[in-house]
Amino acid sequence: MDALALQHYLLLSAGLFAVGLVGVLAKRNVVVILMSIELMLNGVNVALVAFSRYSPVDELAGHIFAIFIITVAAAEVAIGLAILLTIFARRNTVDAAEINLLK
Amino acid sequence: MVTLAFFFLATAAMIGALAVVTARNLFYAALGLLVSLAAVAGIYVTLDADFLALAQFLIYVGGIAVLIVFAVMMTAQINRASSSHRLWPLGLLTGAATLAGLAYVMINTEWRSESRGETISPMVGDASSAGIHLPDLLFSTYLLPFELAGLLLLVATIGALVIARER
Repeated sequence: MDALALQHYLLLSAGLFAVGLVGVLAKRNVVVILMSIELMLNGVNVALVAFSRYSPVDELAGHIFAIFIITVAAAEVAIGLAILLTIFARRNTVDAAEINLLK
Repeated sequence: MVTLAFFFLATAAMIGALAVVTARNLFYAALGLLVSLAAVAGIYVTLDADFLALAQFLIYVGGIAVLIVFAVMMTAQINRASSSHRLWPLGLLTGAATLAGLAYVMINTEWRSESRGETISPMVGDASSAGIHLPDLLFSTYLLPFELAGLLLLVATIGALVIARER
Protein backbone atom coordinates (compact mmCIF):
# COMPACT_ATOMS: atom_id res chain seq x y z
CA MET A 1 0.00 0.00 0.00
CA ASP A 2 1.61 3.22 -1.09
CA ALA A 3 1.63 6.21 1.19
CA LEU A 4 -0.95 8.92 0.99
CA ALA A 5 -0.08 11.74 -1.37
CA LEU A 6 -1.51 15.20 -1.79
CA GLN A 7 -3.33 13.97 -4.89
CA HIS A 8 -5.52 11.58 -2.89
CA TYR A 9 -6.88 14.43 -0.82
CA LEU A 10 -7.26 16.69 -3.84
CA LEU A 11 -9.24 14.06 -5.70
CA LEU A 12 -11.55 13.59 -2.72
CA SER A 13 -11.99 17.35 -2.58
CA ALA A 14 -12.77 17.51 -6.31
CA GLY A 15 -15.26 14.66 -5.92
CA LEU A 16 -17.13 16.36 -3.08
CA PHE A 17 -17.13 19.66 -4.98
CA ALA A 18 -18.44 18.08 -8.19
CA VAL A 19 -21.23 16.18 -6.41
CA GLY A 20 -22.23 19.39 -4.65
CA LEU A 21 -22.19 21.25 -7.96
CA VAL A 22 -24.49 18.69 -9.55
CA GLY A 23 -26.84 19.04 -6.57
CA VAL A 24 -26.92 22.84 -6.83
CA LEU A 25 -27.55 22.77 -10.58
CA ALA A 26 -29.97 19.87 -10.88
CA LYS A 27 -32.19 19.82 -7.78
CA ARG A 28 -35.38 21.80 -7.31
CA ASN A 29 -35.78 21.61 -3.55
CA VAL A 30 -34.08 24.62 -1.92
CA VAL A 31 -33.14 22.57 1.17
CA VAL A 32 -31.22 20.12 -1.02
CA ILE A 33 -29.55 23.03 -2.80
CA LEU A 34 -28.38 24.40 0.56
CA MET A 35 -27.05 20.96 1.54
CA SER A 36 -25.17 20.75 -1.75
CA ILE A 37 -23.59 24.15 -1.12
CA GLU A 38 -22.35 22.79 2.20
CA LEU A 39 -20.83 19.83 0.36
CA MET A 40 -19.00 22.15 -2.03
CA LEU A 41 -17.61 24.23 0.84
CA ASN A 42 -16.46 21.04 2.55
CA GLY A 43 -14.65 19.93 -0.59
CA VAL A 44 -12.81 23.24 -0.72
CA ASN A 45 -11.91 22.93 2.96
CA VAL A 46 -10.41 19.48 2.42
CA ALA A 47 -8.22 20.90 -0.37
CA LEU A 48 -7.09 23.84 1.80
CA VAL A 49 -6.16 21.68 4.77
CA ALA A 50 -4.39 19.16 2.54
CA PHE A 51 -2.31 21.92 0.92
CA SER A 52 -1.48 23.20 4.38
CA ARG A 53 -0.40 19.74 5.53
CA TYR A 54 1.72 18.97 2.50
CA SER A 55 3.27 22.39 1.96
CA PRO A 56 7.08 22.41 2.11
CA VAL A 57 7.09 25.32 4.53
CA ASP A 58 5.56 25.22 7.97
CA GLU A 59 2.40 27.05 7.12
CA LEU A 60 -0.99 26.98 8.79
CA ALA A 61 -2.76 29.50 6.56
CA GLY A 62 -4.86 26.68 5.10
CA HIS A 63 -6.24 25.86 8.54
CA ILE A 64 -7.06 29.52 9.16
CA PHE A 65 -8.85 29.80 5.83
CA ALA A 66 -10.82 26.63 6.58
CA ILE A 67 -11.90 28.06 9.94
CA PHE A 68 -13.19 31.20 8.26
CA ILE A 69 -14.98 29.17 5.59
CA ILE A 70 -16.71 27.15 8.31
CA THR A 71 -17.75 30.39 10.01
CA VAL A 72 -19.16 31.88 6.84
CA ALA A 73 -20.91 28.60 5.99
CA ALA A 74 -22.64 28.62 9.38
CA ALA A 75 -23.82 32.19 8.85
CA GLU A 76 -24.95 31.40 5.32
CA VAL A 77 -26.98 28.37 6.37
CA ALA A 78 -28.66 30.27 9.20
CA ILE A 79 -29.71 33.14 6.91
CA GLY A 80 -30.62 30.78 4.07
CA LEU A 81 -32.89 28.66 6.23
CA ALA A 82 -34.51 31.73 7.77
CA ILE A 83 -35.34 33.05 4.31
CA LEU A 84 -36.53 29.59 3.28
CA LEU A 85 -38.87 29.28 6.27
CA THR A 86 -40.31 32.74 5.60
CA ILE A 87 -40.93 31.90 1.94
CA PHE A 88 -42.47 28.58 2.93
CA ALA A 89 -44.78 30.26 5.42
CA ARG A 90 -46.03 32.68 2.76
CA ARG A 91 -46.01 30.69 -0.45
CA ASN A 92 -46.12 27.12 0.88
CA THR A 93 -43.39 25.87 -1.42
CA VAL A 94 -39.68 25.11 -1.29
CA ASP A 95 -39.38 24.52 -5.02
CA ALA A 96 -36.74 26.73 -6.58
CA ALA A 97 -38.67 26.74 -9.86
CA GLU A 98 -41.77 28.17 -8.19
CA ILE A 99 -40.01 30.84 -6.16
CA ASN A 100 -40.04 33.68 -8.68
CA LEU A 101 -40.80 36.73 -6.54
CA LEU A 102 -38.13 38.77 -8.26
CA LYS A 103 -39.26 38.06 -11.79
CA MET B 1 -3.12 2.44 8.96
CA VAL B 2 -3.69 6.08 8.12
CA THR B 3 -4.00 5.12 4.46
CA LEU B 4 -6.67 2.59 5.33
CA ALA B 5 -8.51 5.15 7.47
CA PHE B 6 -8.30 7.69 4.66
CA PHE B 7 -9.83 5.39 2.08
CA PHE B 8 -12.58 4.31 4.46
CA LEU B 9 -13.42 7.91 5.36
CA ALA B 10 -13.19 9.10 1.76
CA THR B 11 -15.60 6.37 0.67
CA ALA B 12 -18.00 7.30 3.45
CA ALA B 13 -17.80 10.99 2.51
CA MET B 14 -18.49 10.27 -1.15
CA ILE B 15 -21.37 7.90 -0.38
CA GLY B 16 -22.91 10.48 1.91
CA ALA B 17 -22.48 13.18 -0.74
CA LEU B 18 -24.07 11.01 -3.41
CA ALA B 19 -26.95 10.26 -1.04
CA VAL B 20 -27.61 14.01 -0.69
CA VAL B 21 -28.03 14.37 -4.43
CA THR B 22 -29.74 11.07 -5.28
CA ALA B 23 -31.97 10.26 -2.29
CA ARG B 24 -35.68 10.39 -3.07
CA ASN B 25 -36.56 10.93 0.57
CA LEU B 26 -35.45 14.33 1.84
CA PHE B 27 -34.70 12.98 5.30
CA TYR B 28 -32.27 10.41 3.87
CA ALA B 29 -30.55 13.25 2.02
CA ALA B 30 -30.07 15.04 5.36
CA LEU B 31 -28.68 11.86 6.91
CA GLY B 32 -26.31 11.49 3.95
CA LEU B 33 -25.09 15.03 4.57
CA LEU B 34 -24.51 14.14 8.23
CA VAL B 35 -22.43 11.08 7.27
CA SER B 36 -20.43 13.08 4.74
CA LEU B 37 -19.66 15.90 7.19
CA ALA B 38 -18.62 13.47 9.93
CA ALA B 39 -16.35 11.62 7.49
CA VAL B 40 -14.71 14.89 6.48
CA ALA B 41 -14.03 15.54 10.17
CA GLY B 42 -12.19 12.20 10.21
CA ILE B 43 -10.28 13.25 7.10
CA TYR B 44 -9.08 16.31 9.02
CA VAL B 45 -7.70 14.00 11.71
CA THR B 46 -5.66 12.13 9.09
CA LEU B 47 -4.31 15.54 8.02
CA ASP B 48 -3.12 16.41 11.57
CA ALA B 49 -5.77 19.14 11.80
CA ASP B 50 -7.13 18.18 15.19
CA PHE B 51 -8.70 21.51 16.00
CA LEU B 52 -10.45 21.68 12.64
CA ALA B 53 -11.78 18.15 13.10
CA LEU B 54 -13.28 19.18 16.42
CA ALA B 55 -14.68 22.39 14.97
CA GLN B 56 -16.13 20.44 12.05
CA PHE B 57 -17.90 18.09 14.44
CA LEU B 58 -19.23 20.84 16.69
CA ILE B 59 -20.30 23.31 14.02
CA TYR B 60 -21.27 21.14 11.07
CA VAL B 61 -22.45 17.86 12.59
CA GLY B 62 -23.77 19.42 15.78
CA GLY B 63 -25.08 22.69 14.40
CA ILE B 64 -25.64 22.97 10.69
CA ALA B 65 -26.83 19.41 10.12
CA VAL B 66 -29.35 19.69 12.97
CA LEU B 67 -30.52 23.03 11.58
CA ILE B 68 -31.05 21.44 8.16
CA VAL B 69 -32.92 18.48 9.67
CA PHE B 70 -35.19 21.03 11.38
CA ALA B 71 -35.75 22.79 8.07
CA VAL B 72 -36.56 19.47 6.39
CA MET B 73 -39.16 18.74 9.04
CA MET B 74 -40.68 22.22 9.14
CA THR B 75 -41.09 22.48 5.41
CA ALA B 76 -42.99 19.22 5.66
CA GLN B 77 -42.43 17.86 2.20
CA ILE B 78 -40.42 14.87 3.32
CA ASN B 79 -42.50 12.39 1.45
CA ARG B 80 -42.57 14.34 -1.75
CA ALA B 81 -39.67 13.11 -3.80
CA SER B 82 -36.83 15.57 -3.98
CA SER B 83 -37.18 15.99 -7.70
CA SER B 84 -34.76 17.33 -10.28
CA HIS B 85 -35.10 19.96 -12.93
CA ARG B 86 -36.14 19.15 -16.47
CA LEU B 87 -32.62 20.14 -17.41
CA TRP B 88 -30.89 17.92 -14.84
CA PRO B 89 -28.70 16.11 -17.42
CA LEU B 90 -27.11 19.49 -18.17
CA GLY B 91 -26.23 19.85 -14.49
CA LEU B 92 -24.82 16.35 -14.41
CA LEU B 93 -22.75 17.10 -17.50
CA THR B 94 -21.39 20.31 -15.94
CA GLY B 95 -20.50 18.43 -12.77
CA ALA B 96 -18.77 15.64 -14.66
CA ALA B 97 -16.83 18.11 -16.79
CA THR B 98 -15.76 20.02 -13.67
CA LEU B 99 -14.64 16.81 -11.99
CA ALA B 100 -12.73 15.67 -15.07
CA GLY B 101 -11.01 19.02 -15.48
CA LEU B 102 -10.07 19.29 -11.80
CA ALA B 103 -8.82 15.70 -11.66
CA TYR B 104 -6.73 16.20 -14.81
CA VAL B 105 -5.08 19.31 -13.41
CA MET B 106 -4.59 17.84 -9.95
CA ILE B 107 -2.93 14.66 -11.17
CA ASN B 108 -0.75 16.24 -13.84
CA THR B 109 0.55 19.20 -11.85
CA GLU B 110 3.95 18.71 -10.27
CA TRP B 111 3.13 19.79 -6.75
CA ARG B 112 6.10 21.00 -4.76
CA SER B 113 4.77 19.00 -1.87
CA GLU B 114 6.56 17.07 0.75
CA SER B 115 4.85 15.67 3.75
CA ARG B 116 6.38 17.39 6.75
CA GLY B 117 8.07 14.47 8.45
CA GLU B 118 6.65 11.00 8.52
CA THR B 119 5.02 11.37 11.92
CA ILE B 120 1.37 11.49 10.98
CA SER B 121 0.31 10.88 14.55
CA PRO B 122 0.17 14.16 16.43
CA MET B 123 0.98 12.37 19.68
CA VAL B 124 4.46 11.46 18.43
CA GLY B 125 5.01 14.48 16.23
CA ASP B 126 6.85 17.61 17.23
CA ALA B 127 3.49 19.25 17.81
CA SER B 128 4.46 21.98 15.38
CA SER B 129 1.33 21.50 13.29
CA ALA B 130 -2.15 22.04 14.68
CA GLY B 131 -2.80 23.24 18.19
CA ILE B 132 0.43 24.96 19.10
CA HIS B 133 0.61 28.01 16.91
CA LEU B 134 -2.81 28.03 15.33
CA PRO B 135 -4.13 30.38 18.06
CA ASP B 136 -0.99 32.53 17.89
CA LEU B 137 -1.54 33.00 14.18
CA LEU B 138 -5.26 33.63 14.64
CA PHE B 139 -4.68 36.35 17.23
CA SER B 140 -1.81 38.11 15.49
CA THR B 141 -1.62 37.92 11.70
CA TYR B 142 -5.29 37.16 11.19
CA LEU B 143 -6.70 39.23 14.04
CA LEU B 144 -8.77 41.55 11.84
CA PRO B 145 -10.48 38.73 9.87
CA PHE B 146 -11.07 36.96 13.17
CA GLU B 147 -12.86 39.96 14.64
CA LEU B 148 -14.79 40.45 11.41
CA ALA B 149 -15.89 36.80 11.56
CA GLY B 150 -17.27 37.44 15.03
CA LEU B 151 -19.13 40.50 13.73
CA LEU B 152 -20.44 38.47 10.79
CA LEU B 153 -21.83 35.83 13.14
CA LEU B 154 -23.55 38.50 15.23
CA VAL B 155 -25.09 40.08 12.14
CA ALA B 156 -26.16 36.67 10.82
CA THR B 157 -27.79 35.76 14.13
CA ILE B 158 -29.76 39.01 14.33
CA GLY B 159 -30.57 38.85 10.64
CA ALA B 160 -31.88 35.30 10.85
CA LEU B 161 -34.04 36.24 13.86
CA VAL B 162 -35.48 39.27 12.08
CA ILE B 163 -36.14 37.41 8.84
CA ALA B 164 -37.76 34.36 10.43
CA ARG B 165 -39.82 36.34 12.96
CA GLU B 166 -43.54 35.73 12.97
CA ARG B 167 -45.40 38.74 11.66
